[in-house]
Amino acid sequence: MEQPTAPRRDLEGFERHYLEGLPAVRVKRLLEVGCGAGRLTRTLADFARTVFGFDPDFERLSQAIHDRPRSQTGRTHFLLSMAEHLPFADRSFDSVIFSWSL
Amino acid sequence: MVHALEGSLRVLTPSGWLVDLRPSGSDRLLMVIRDGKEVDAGEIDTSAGNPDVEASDAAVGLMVARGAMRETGKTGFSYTYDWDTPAEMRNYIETEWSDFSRLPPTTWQQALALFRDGTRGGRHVRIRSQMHLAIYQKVSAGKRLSGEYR
Repeated sequence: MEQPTAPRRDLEGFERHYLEGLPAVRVKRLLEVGCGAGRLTRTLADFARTVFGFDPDFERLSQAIHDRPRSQTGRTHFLLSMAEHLPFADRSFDSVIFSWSL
Repeated sequence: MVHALEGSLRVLTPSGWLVDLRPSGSDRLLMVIRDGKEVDAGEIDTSAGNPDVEASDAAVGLMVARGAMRETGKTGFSYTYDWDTPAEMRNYIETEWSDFSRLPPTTWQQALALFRDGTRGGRHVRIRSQMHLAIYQKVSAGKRLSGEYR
C-alpha cells in the first residue's frame, strides 16, 4: 500500500481559536506531551513564553526541530522522552498539555 | 496512561493546569467540497469504538477520583481533515485509522459520485469530526487532605 497522504488539518482554525482563549496556555512555562512533529507546538508558542515539547519518536522530533520557525528558536525546546520519565524538576511547569497523546 | 498523568502532575506547579486535547473518537462525517460548499456523503463507521479513547477517559477519571486534579472546564469543537481526492482519504483511513474507523461502501460510493459531479478545479474531500478539550487543575496534597478542593 502506498504511503498515505497526510490531510490538511483544521482549515477552519477552531483548534487555534479554542486554545487561544485558554488562560492555561498563556503561561510562562508550558510542557507539551507527545508533541510529534511539532504542529501544535508552533501554535502554543504563540501564547506561552516558553514551550517544551517531548515525544518518544526520534524521526518526528527531528521534523519538529527542522520545521521550527526561526522566531521561535530559544523559546521552543524539543526532547526525546517518555511521559513516564520526564527529565524535569518537580513543580517546574505552569501547564501541561496532552495534545492527542492521552 | 495513569503513569503519564502522574508524571505530568509531578512537574506541575501546585495549582498548575493540565489540558487534555484529543479527538472524541466518534461522529466522523464525510463531506465533498464543491465550489466551496460542503455536501454530506455519509458517516464514517466508528461503532467499534476506540480503545485508546476509552483508556484515556478511564485514566483521567481515576486521577480525578483520587483527588489529584479537578476538572475546571470542558468543551468540544469541530475539527476537519481535508484531502485532494477520495482515494487519498480512503488510503489514510485504511492505514492510520484502521483500528477505530471503517469507510462504509455506501458512503464511499456517494463520495465518489459527488466528487465526479464537482467542478474539476474546485473540489476536494473532508472528514468533519469532533475534538474534546478539557481543562484540569492540579490539587495540592494539602488541599486534597483537607477536602478543600471539592
